[in-house]
Amino acid sequence: MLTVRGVTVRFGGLTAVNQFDIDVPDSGVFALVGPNGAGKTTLINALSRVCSVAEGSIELNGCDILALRSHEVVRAGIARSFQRAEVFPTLSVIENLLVGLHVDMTTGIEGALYLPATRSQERDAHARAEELLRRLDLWDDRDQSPADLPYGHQKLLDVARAIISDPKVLLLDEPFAGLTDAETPQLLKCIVDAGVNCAVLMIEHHFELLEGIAQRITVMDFGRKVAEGPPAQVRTDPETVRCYLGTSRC
Amino acid sequence: MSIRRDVLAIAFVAISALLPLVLQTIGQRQVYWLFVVSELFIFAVVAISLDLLMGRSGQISLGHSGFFAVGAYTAAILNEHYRVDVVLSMLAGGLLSALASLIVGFPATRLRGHYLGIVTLGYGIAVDQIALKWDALTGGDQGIHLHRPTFFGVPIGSPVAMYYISLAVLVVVIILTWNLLRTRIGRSFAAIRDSEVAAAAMGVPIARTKVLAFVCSAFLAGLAGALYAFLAGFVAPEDFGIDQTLLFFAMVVIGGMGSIAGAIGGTILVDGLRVAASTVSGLSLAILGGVIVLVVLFAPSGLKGLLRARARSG
Repeated sequence: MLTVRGVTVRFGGLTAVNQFDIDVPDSGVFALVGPNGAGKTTLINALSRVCSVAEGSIELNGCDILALRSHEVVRAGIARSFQRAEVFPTLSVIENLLVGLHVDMTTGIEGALYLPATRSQERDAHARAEELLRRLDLWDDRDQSPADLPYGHQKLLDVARAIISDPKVLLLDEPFAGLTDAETPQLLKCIVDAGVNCAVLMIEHHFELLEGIAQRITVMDFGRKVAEGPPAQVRTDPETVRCYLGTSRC
Repeated sequence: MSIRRDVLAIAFVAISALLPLVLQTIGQRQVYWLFVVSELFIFAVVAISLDLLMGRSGQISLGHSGFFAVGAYTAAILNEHYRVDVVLSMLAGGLLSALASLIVGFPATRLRGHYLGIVTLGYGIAVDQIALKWDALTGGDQGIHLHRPTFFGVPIGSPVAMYYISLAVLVVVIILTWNLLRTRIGRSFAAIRDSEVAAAAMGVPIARTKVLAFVCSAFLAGLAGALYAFLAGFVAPEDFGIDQTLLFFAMVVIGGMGSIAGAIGGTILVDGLRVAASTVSGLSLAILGGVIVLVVLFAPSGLKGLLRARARSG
């Protein structure tokens, strides 16, 4: 269980996230929605220790996430994707996924000798990466540079790289942004599958899409939580309508 | 490794291995050419080490001659003053250079781009000046002459022996670097170069990885420096100045960063130009500078980029 209490993030005089609380259970898909500038990405950045937290606490199954540095968060069980696909363009697609297994592997500088232990570890890692590539229909792209892929495939790769580390909590920042209609179902299935074994907390603007997969939606505005609940309840919540969904004039 | 690359690698090693025999058959200036090609092999090791740092982990070094010098002086002092074996002296040269790299490796965790370039430049100049002023240890501007290098008691001073040792070291360094780059640490170097924030999110410790890149790079440069000391039989500050750094830098940039083959190709081109231009007194650096400008203007990805573009269009 990811427990967030009173988290506040400030950039100078601006309070981007203000006394924010959320509980994320061990599995399932959960969503964060809100207008631009509501503080959703900042919250994800705070949870993954990309930005500093001024106040509050973040715990994952009792582990104090705020005591960790950004590269230690994934070892604790929190993996993330990015709003703009942050792929590694000078590595191939499969190598990008292998970087996602960095904390699961132990080979150090002795990798230069390519001893049997290293070989075996590399073989296992490649097998995991190849299995995921097949599952996401990225197999044909495996040896290409991500820079040469369509943006939708880059987004898929970005999410896949987070999933491959087998996290307890998967943070996804607008994973469907930039995807074509053909690519969306593929990623959707991937996220739903991931939600069986871990908690997925995702930022998303497609409310209709969330209604099909999210167990709970949290609405943010000006850094605060303004509504929370199952999709059907949140859709009719007056605060959600006011700050995010709006009303039809017709 | 692709089949084409395998064939090229085997051809390179085969031609290099046969070269002393060819030179012996031709019989002209064999010692000179063996020295020139041995030196090229050693410089190729330095270029690979610099590429590991700049091309792979995205950190700049304008002081690589400093790492080269630390290795050369360590080996020279150990071998000449303490009669330490060639192999142990070379390893010590690499290790001390790696240790010295921590001086710039730690600032590298907080600096990047031009600022890191200035720190490394300062390091290279400092090493050069220390070599010049610390007479008691380095022999000052008189340098250190190496008289009797031995390999487990067997003298190895002959040009042919040094040639094959240089070639063997280059081949071993290529294999080790290739292996490193295709495993976890090599991928983490590329990850921090491409996106530090994404690399950290994948669990790559940014500061530690940057320092590690410096240490690996400096070890190889130090090893090359030690080998150079045995090849030249003499080390002096004039071999490790800013012009030497410029030469190494040019090899990597002209070859195309991020490629072992590029680093070797760049070394062949730049060192070949240097040797050819050395006949034009005082103008070799000017010619080299001109070539760098042309490459940056017309082939910013270096030889590697040119060959890839040609392969795509062909």
